[in-house]
Amino acid sequence: MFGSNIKKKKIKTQSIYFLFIVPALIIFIIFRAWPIIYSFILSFFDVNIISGNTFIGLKNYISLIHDQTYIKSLLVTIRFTSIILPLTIIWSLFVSIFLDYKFLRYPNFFKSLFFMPFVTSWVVISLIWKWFLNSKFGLVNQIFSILHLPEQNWLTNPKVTLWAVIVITIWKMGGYFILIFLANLQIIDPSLYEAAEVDGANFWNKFRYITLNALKPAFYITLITGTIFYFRTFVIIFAMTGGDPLGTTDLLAYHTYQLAFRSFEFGQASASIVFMFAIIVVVLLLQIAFFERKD
Amino acid sequence: MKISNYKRFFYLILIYGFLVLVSIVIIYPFLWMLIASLKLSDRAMFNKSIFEIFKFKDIGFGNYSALVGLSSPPLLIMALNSIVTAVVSTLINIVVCFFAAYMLAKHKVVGGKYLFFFFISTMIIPQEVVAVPLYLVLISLGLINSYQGIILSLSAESLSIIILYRFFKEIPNEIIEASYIDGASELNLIFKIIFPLSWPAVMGAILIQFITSWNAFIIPLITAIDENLYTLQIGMSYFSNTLFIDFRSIMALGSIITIPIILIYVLTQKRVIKGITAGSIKE
Repeated sequence: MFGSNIKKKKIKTQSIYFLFIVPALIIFIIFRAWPIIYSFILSFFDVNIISGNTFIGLKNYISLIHDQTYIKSLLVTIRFTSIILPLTIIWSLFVSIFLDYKFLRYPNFFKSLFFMPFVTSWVVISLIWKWFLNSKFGLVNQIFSILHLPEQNWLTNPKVTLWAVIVITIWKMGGYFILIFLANLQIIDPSLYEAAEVDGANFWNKFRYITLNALKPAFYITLITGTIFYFRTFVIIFAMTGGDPLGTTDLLAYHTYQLAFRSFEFGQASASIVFMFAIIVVVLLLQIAFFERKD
Repeated sequence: MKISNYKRFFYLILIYGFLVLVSIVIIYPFLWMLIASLKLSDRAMFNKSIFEIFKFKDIGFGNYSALVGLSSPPLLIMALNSIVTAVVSTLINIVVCFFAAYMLAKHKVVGGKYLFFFFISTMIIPQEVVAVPLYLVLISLGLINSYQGIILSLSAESLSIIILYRFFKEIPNEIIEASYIDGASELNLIFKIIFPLSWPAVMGAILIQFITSWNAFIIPLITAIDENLYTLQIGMSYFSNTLFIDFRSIMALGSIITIPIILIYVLTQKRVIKGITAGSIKE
């Protein structure tokens, strides 16, 4: 009797707790989780918004694999990510080490300033840089000519446009990763360096065995959040390059959007999202497995 | 001792030189946009000299008044849309995330661990990736081309839950237990004690969600079909593809979008930085 009362009370308190969580749960399920599940379902259908959907099995996946532009977009995305992630790490490591120099004054001023582009709008940034990249009167070519570097057709030369996208993306997102590296540098115990100096360690040894070792969590977080951040690169492509020239900046997020809203292939776009979802999850799991193994 | 002083001086010059150079690269585009938005002729913008634009001539608010004069879509409507969608989606986001984060952090909810994991895991699938099926979901719910569609989609951002959850975890349980003994109800406890205590974290979450919603692009892009639902961001992209508006006016629109955010950021940078990195930096 007594026991069942406790049980009843427990159920009552649990349902009160749950009541507080339900609003968030509903919003996140409908607007975040359900679209993923829905695209998994729709990937097996020929989606027609007006006349209804027909089940076509794996046809969407097969057409995607046989679609040269899709394979190209996949390769471009792999190329983009595998260039930008290491560059992001090198850049933020470099800057954060400078910001951590113990005699430097106002490091927080620089830190806040470098983070500023992160909170501003991607559309605005993309359109400013589009003007800067103009081959005739753009700022970038003006600086190149001052430095006696060869001027480029930044938005039409297939060899350079992706690099422009990469540099602008790091310009905008870099501050975030600098913060992560700096936070991890600042918690290193200075006595470690002093002890190493007593043992006669040179700069390189200190960097290699103390700094890099302490930055392991920063590398870990940068790879994971970087993968997620860079996978969503869309607006700069939409507003600046349009995937051109010759599809060399046609990243998956943009290509999928075009599949849906330009070609109206919602089924194939859904299949593409399933691919992307699988790629993100696999890459994240690989990174987690790699770092957990080392620790 | 003297040698090391020279060395320190040399390092400092090198580091300051580098940091100032990076600062210029960071600030220049914003400054350029602001000046371009105030230029009354294209002359400076097509000039082959970097510094030409900084010369104080042909300055005025003509580009801004040209923007106000546009009729499809009117600037005022777009500005109102941006403000309404950003403010309302922030309110909804903060309210639902506050309660969820509080319950998950401070009470033993059955399956709470899994619920928290669910909320965090929505972060790995960003809105840019989920846009296409979200569009179809919004159609089936009848929310496409509506404020509700934009606002509710924008409010599903889980960073607020992480920020608030981490803060609630630091509130000692004794405070909660003591108020239970005093006979306070759950709602009483939340509004009289937890909410005032967590105000700094709530403020941080509000700022970040507002910035995120204000800067949102793909959700208003897929949801707003009618021009009267365009936000400033969509308007900027739309105008950049049309010929009836010149680039200086587009930069004026860019300034209107960017200046409020930069002001908010300058005034609250510590809170914003702490909040945005809540999921990635341990303190």
